[in-house]
Amino acid sequence: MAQHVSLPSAATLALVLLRRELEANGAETLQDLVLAADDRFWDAYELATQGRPFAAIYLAGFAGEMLLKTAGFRFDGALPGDAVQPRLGPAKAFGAARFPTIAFESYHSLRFWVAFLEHKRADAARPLDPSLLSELHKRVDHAHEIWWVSMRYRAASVPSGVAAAVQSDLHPLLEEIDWLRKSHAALWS
Amino acid sequence: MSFRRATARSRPLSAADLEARLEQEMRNPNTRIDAQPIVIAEPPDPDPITRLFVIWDDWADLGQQDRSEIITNAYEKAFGLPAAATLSVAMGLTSVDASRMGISTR
Repeated sequence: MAQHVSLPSAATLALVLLRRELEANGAETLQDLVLAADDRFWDAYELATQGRPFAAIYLAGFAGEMLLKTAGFRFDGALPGDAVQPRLGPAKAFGAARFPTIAFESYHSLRFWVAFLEHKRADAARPLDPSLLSELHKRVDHAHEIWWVSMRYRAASVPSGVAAAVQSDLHPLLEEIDWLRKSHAALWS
Repeated sequence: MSFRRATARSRPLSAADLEARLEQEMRNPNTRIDAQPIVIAEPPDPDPITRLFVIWDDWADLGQQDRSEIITNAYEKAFGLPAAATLSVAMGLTSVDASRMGISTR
């Protein structure tokens, strides 16, 4: 008896192969995250220009998270090719010991990663320049108020008045994340 | 009846058991040099330990993040939070991973 077999399209097959290739490369490295942060930032920018502010915020926040996380790990001795995940357990313990009031939000909190970097630098007696630190706090506090990782589970069907507010706060957020991109090396070096 | 809130990302069922067994190994290391889990701490004495590598085939099904948390939690339970807070790396490997990375336990 003939069986119906549905074959994936060429496009689907290409994406499946891409996934397999990326997964076969092993655990994500710091450099993977830095490059992904750049990609997600420009994805967010593109979405913003297309009138999709909620999706733009979501991707921009992720870019910020990756930049802050990698800045902290780079300062803590990680090299670009080092895996990220083996550093997560110790980072959580460090936070619990040094800044227990800041929730780690399953490693997604922007404030957590700023505190991680700040405390690691303090321990090494190499604090950030006060003006840079002040700017970092100001920008990340703003981003943290707008972005949270679980927003991916929320539909963006907001009242029109709120939608206008979302749109108006989008560009400042993109500026905050762009500042993190441009300041990344200064944060960890 | 217990009532628990689900979290966005729950721990694997085997995590608590692995954590307890690893804590026990950290407190009382097995005298057999090839007995798993094998815990390698860096850097050498007398510097404080900042990197832990644990070779253990029992966690082959777990991802790197879970392994990292299990190692850190076990270390914290064995030696306290201040000691765990000095760690930068907690990497869990299987014997195949270790061999691929050129890590020798001999």
